[in-house]
Amino acid sequence: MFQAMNTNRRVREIALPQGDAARGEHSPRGRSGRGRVILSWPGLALLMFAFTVVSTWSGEASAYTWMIRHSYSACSTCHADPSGGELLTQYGRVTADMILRMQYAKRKPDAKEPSPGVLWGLWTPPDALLLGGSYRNLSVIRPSQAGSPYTFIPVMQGDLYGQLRLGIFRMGGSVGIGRSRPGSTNGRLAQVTTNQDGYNLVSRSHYIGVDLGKEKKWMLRGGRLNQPFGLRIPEHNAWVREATRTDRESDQQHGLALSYVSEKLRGEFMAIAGNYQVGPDAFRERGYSMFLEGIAGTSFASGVSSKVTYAEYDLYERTINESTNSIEPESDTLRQAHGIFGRWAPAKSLVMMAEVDALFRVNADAGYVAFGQVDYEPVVGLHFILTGELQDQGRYVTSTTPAEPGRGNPQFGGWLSVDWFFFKQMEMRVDAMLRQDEPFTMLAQLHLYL
Amino acid sequence: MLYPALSARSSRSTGFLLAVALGLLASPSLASPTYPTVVKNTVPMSCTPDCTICHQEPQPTSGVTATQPFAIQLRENGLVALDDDSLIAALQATVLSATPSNVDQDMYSDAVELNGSMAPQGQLTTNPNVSDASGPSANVCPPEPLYGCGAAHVTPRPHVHTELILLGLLAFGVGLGIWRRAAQRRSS
Repeated sequence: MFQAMNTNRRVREIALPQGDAARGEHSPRGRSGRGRVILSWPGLALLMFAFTVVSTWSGEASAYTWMIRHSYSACSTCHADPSGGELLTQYGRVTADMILRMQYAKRKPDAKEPSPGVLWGLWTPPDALLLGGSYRNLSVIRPSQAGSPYTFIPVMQGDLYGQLRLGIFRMGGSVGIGRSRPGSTNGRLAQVTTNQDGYNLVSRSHYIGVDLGKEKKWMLRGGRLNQPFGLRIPEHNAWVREATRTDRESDQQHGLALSYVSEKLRGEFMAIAGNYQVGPDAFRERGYSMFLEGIAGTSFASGVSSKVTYAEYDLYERTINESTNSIEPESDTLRQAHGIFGRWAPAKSLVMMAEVDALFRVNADAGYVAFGQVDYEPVVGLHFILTGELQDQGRYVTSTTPAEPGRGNPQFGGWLSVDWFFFKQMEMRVDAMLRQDEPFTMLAQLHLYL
Repeated sequence: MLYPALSARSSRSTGFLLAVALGLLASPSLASPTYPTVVKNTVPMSCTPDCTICHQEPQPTSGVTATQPFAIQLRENGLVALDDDSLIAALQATVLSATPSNVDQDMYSDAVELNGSMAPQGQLTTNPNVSDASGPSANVCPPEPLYGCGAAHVTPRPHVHTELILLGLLAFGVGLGIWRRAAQRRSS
């Protein structure tokens, strides 16, 4: 059925690059790959509907973080960060243009290669300089919300990224704007300026680093960095990222990280010095975070993660101190998270990812958090994503209140998402989120990356 | 003694202030959940005060009367429950009046105690219900995180600068890289 429909919509094949960082094939030049389906404009709307009921999958497709379906098991091929995320390399830009976004016409064999430049190819900086940026807005719909069920956030993210490389040395980071609101912690951990209610200058990462080893498989960086832990997914509000405090939205920490990338193994260990964009010092978490991932073949990878931190005062947990009869931050909080994760692409159109972490915190029962996701990409650039979540962060050992979902009892959550990379460096995404004990929420976002 | 967790990272979007005010410990609704923020903004204060500046209980539920001396004074000046305007008017008639109130009858007015202008180092406020005659009373604000680089050293007390240790290690790594690069050039 699917193939027939594609034929009717003048679907044609296109040669696209295949990736494998370990083979050192980082040239932006396109390489031959298996055929891919492309789609003309008129058939798009009908096809989007049809795919929701199609039970078969096509032989070819492409993805995002799930680039393992193209044998991109390592991240440093396309990203400046050896563990993935944000700033793209020149190779990453070309790859994104050729296999990430929707293709509306057949690419001729002698066609000019996409530009690796910024601003949709307007300017190509020198090789030593990587530049990029990201803009996201967000619409939130909560039908059960009192008053207006619709909220629009014009600038959920507005960041510029850069990295300058001088020989074996590199320095880089991000700078942008973000809205801080009392009662919301999103973005606040990355604030540079101190406005507690309004727009702020934010910097999610900034670092200097050095490549180590003859083959430059090792990299040492210091600064504010993404924490190496689990699956580096874009869903920053997924429970696995929130419960382990390892999202890419603003959970970065200052510290020192040593990364390693080879053909069959990659990993990163970070010594966490604390987030120096939060004060007082008592609220800073210190410890380590790490992951180690093994790669089997070209379509399967799995690994382990571990994180241990201590803070004199916890940022979010609150307790009643009976001696002073006051509400205070939980003190002397030792947090641990240890888990496993995996990625598997049984077909190019399908990627499955999973992560399970055990959670430990002083004064609380042991807990867990789990995440599973199936990404189905029937045509290039269009993803249907099914996500399941489960968590029980454990309740206080001295708690006198009944257990509740997520605190003593399991809490379930599910997402259904459509992610459409509709043009060069442009993405639209819609998520329907249903979580136990939380209102039904729909999110819609437009994402432009420079 | 620690009691049950009051908020979770999974509900970060509600924030801890809202959580403290609206639903900690899955308790019944609080007496006047917006009042701490109103006091903070009206005085103004550099932090959000604990409920105990007015109540005996750290989490007063709906219907519980505020009986601290500071609250009694405000009630005498028109404060009623669940009415932000009445609280603002009462604060203006007492704390912010031309002859500012001083319910504990020490040497500091309530306004001075709440805005912390005379608070000792490392403390943002003193308690307007407790006399400071024999020494500064306790801070009425629970510790709160502040965000932004300017918040980096708001607490002057000594602490371990682990970042300096890590910077030292980074400098060592960079130095090692430079040394090896120079050695490679010499050998070639």
